[in-house]
Amino acid sequence: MRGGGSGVFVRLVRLALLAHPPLRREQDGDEMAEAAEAAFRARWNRSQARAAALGFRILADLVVSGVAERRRTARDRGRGGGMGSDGWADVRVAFRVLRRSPGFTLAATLVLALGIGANTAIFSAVKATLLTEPPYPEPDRLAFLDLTDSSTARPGPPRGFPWSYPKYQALRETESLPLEMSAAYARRFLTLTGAGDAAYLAVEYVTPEYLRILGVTPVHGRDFTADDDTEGAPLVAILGHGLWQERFGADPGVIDRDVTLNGQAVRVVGVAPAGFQGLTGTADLWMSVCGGAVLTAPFLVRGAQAHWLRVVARVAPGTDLALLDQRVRAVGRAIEERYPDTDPTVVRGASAGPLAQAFVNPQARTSLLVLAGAAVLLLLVACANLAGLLVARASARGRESAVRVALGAGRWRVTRTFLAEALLLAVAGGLVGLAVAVLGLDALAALWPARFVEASWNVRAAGVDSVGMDPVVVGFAALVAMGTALVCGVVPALAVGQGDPAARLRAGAAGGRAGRRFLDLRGALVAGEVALALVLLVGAGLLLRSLAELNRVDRGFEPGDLVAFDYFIPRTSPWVEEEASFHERYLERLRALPGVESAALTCVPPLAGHCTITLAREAGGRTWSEGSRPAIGVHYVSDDFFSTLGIPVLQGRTFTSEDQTSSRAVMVLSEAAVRELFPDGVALGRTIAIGTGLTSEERGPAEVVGVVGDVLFDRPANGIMPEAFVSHRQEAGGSTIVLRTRGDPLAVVAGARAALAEIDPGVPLFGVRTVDDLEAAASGDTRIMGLLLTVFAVLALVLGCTGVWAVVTFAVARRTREIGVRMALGADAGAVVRAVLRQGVGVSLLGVLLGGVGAWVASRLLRSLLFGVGPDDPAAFATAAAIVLAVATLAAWLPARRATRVDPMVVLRAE
Amino acid sequence: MTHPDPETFLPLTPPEYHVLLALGQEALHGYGMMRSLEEKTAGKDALLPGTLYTTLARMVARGLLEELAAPPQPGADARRRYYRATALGRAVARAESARMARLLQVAAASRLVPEPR
Repeated sequence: MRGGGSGVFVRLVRLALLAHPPLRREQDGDEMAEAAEAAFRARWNRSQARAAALGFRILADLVVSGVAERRRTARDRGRGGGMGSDGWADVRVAFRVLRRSPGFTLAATLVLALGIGANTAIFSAVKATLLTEPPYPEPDRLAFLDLTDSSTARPGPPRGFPWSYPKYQALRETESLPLEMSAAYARRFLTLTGAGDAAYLAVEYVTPEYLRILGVTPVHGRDFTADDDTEGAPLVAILGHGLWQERFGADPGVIDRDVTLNGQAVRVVGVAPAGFQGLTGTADLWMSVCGGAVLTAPFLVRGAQAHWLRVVARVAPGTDLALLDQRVRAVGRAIEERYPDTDPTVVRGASAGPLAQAFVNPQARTSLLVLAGAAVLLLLVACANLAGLLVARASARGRESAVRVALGAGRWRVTRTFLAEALLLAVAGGLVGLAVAVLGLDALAALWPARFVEASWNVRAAGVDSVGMDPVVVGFAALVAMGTALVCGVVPALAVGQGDPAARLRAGAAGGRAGRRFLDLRGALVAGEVALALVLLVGAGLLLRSLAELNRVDRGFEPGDLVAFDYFIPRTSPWVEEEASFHERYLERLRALPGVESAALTCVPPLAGHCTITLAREAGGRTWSEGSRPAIGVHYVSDDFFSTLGIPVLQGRTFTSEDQTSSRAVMVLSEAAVRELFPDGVALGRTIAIGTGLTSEERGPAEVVGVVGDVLFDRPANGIMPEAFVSHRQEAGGSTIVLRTRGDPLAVVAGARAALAEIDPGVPLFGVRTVDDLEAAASGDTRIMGLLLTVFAVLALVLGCTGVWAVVTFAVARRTREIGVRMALGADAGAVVRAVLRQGVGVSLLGVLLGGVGAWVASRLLRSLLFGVGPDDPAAFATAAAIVLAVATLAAWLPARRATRVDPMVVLRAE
Repeated sequence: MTHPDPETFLPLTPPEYHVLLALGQEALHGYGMMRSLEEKTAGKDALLPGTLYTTLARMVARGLLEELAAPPQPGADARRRYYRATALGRAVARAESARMARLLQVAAASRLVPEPR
């Protein structure tokens, strides 16, 4: 049908006509379209191909001439200022306007940069830790297999549990599982000697397919083979890239050379690529599981109940992981039947899930999401603030806008000016915001390293952290900026669009009284800002109170100048059979160091955990049945432990040189232990038997020789536990030193290192931490979140109150004439000022009410981070509301006060 | 009434010249000019609508054309806008043609003009 072709053509012509300026379209558009269609039709009748060619040229000509016309019109009119009918002209005009008021532009840019930057930084963190897939090929085919462990004696869901080597072999032998490859891995520590100072390295013991499953190929040498992981095979290792560079000078010749690990010769067979540190994220090198057993202990591969391995697998393509989980559960039950646990209350099974999920800490997820929410709120406050500023300028330019609208400029064109301004500000804010984001990210990673290490995938390209800027993040920032521009640009346009332009023109001469409604647009914006600020403040308040509650839990020891560090006596050391003497000699040397007041030995410092937790079997003749034995923490300590840490001795004595291996087994108990085990309160001199070590069934109970004050060894949130202390001479424990120093604790570390090397240079020293580090680690995310949320809340409050201040200032300025007249007539100006003040405070009150509701809803999200305070704690709400109202009232009162200084003569003269 | 010097309008852009050629002494509307030019040049030169109408507006602004208040003939299409060359426009057209003729003489002397068949 002939008509069809020209119908399409006409539509295309109409489209192309859009390139022409609106005025031209109005005047000549129809004629152009008719002429085009007529010319096309005439040609079409003769030759369709020629007509198509002509049609194409006509369309192209329409577009090109239209664009040229627009440019010409803009050039002719652009210098007039503000009446551009061209989008680019709007932007240029907006640029000039912004340049003319540098103060406003700077303030607005900074406000936006803050909001955009904060959001971008946190989004980057969220993306790296929660959204990024594991950086291995086909990550959706990677599964994490756990044994599960639950006990009929202990409530709660089954917990993930490591595998033992025989059980893992049983898993591998199962044929019904849709697994392409599977591998087991676990982290241990080794001492490297003979290549520089003795070093304490993290090693991942792995089965041969580990690297292949992760798609990682050694850059030098070879991968593990099945032969490497058999009992009796020669010891081989693959070095990590960092280790290879630091200790072996990045020399490829290290392949096929031997290194000394734990005193044994191990052949280097490969070097891993840069940035790969295994699934634990911290591996310095890799060895086979069987090799690991040789270096550490044979029972690691033989013991069916030695649970120490994690299992990762690559599933066959197209496998449904839920199905895999079901199958693995069945296999888990079968394996348990084959290797039952000695404890009848334990119920073991197995489960499988996507690898991505296995590594996300639920609390980290909550914290990050809360933070993301807070950042969004801050951005909204920033947007509201900017929109308010733009509305204020719009009202001031109300006359100009009214004139333009009256002259037929059209609401859309007026809106475009505001959009152009908002766009420029948003772009500037976005660029500065990126800089803010980079700084914020660095700060976040510095404050919160543990979270990022354990929750991200730890594949670090050489030199660049895994949490950083990438194109997606930059795109996110751009999106946020554009969205901000849209919101901030449209709002003032709404304000301009209100009302009759003619009325505004008339009112313009009188100063433009656009309605005395209580809640105009600006008031609403400010109320919103105040509300959001309140939400953030309540959140911060709850977290800070939690922190205070956590700090109120009595630690039980004297903080102050304490430092703790670890060391490790390798099997090759001459002291390996005389560890107790080694510890004693080292403690002597340490006490002799200048700056050291006292020194003590333990396995774990307070707040960081227990040496071990076991069950009490018998206390003062009283026993418990299986399943109801009380749990008790155990610590193996030196004589000066209690005095070094400032733990009060309440009854009896602590350990002395009389307590040796040959003498009677003795124990010191904490108050809580006495309360738990000896209800009548008398413990001294009575007997106690716990666990399977010093007071095992064969060796008999120990005597209680002292009672000390409670000490917090676990996180404050978990509270005090009953503790038992054993002398390290009677039962060997760990090798952690705690020093009380005179002056800066870290200053003595160098001396401690030297003293250690004097006794045995092959013993590495590591893990230096102060009380601050211990406290930070123990407080979990509460401290960090409290800090960050407080920062956000303060920023939001400042912005919100700036809004209140601006609204009141504006109101006062608007009614200056009225005030002046009234004062001239002898009336009390204070009444007017009070009315203005009331409006400002009223807006804030509205904001507080709205914010209170919002905070009540939002604070539920914080529940898992709170301690000792509920999400609807009235004190927190009341305090936050009081602070907001106080600051807002001040922000309203200052400009209102200035109104009383209005000189009626000046005002009247200006009429 | 003083006319501006036609020489100041030279050189005309090709579309402007085509418009003046198409119009000649007549009053035409846009499409009519397109047809007129096509006929007069036997299809070798053409005016496309986009360029044409923007050129018309510019030429009116410069005083080379004038828009008719009413259609030239009673039966003509009343919706359309009709244009006619002004005296100035005709003068400019003559001046441009003279300029081109001079150029052609130079070209002929340099043997750039093909021999007519």
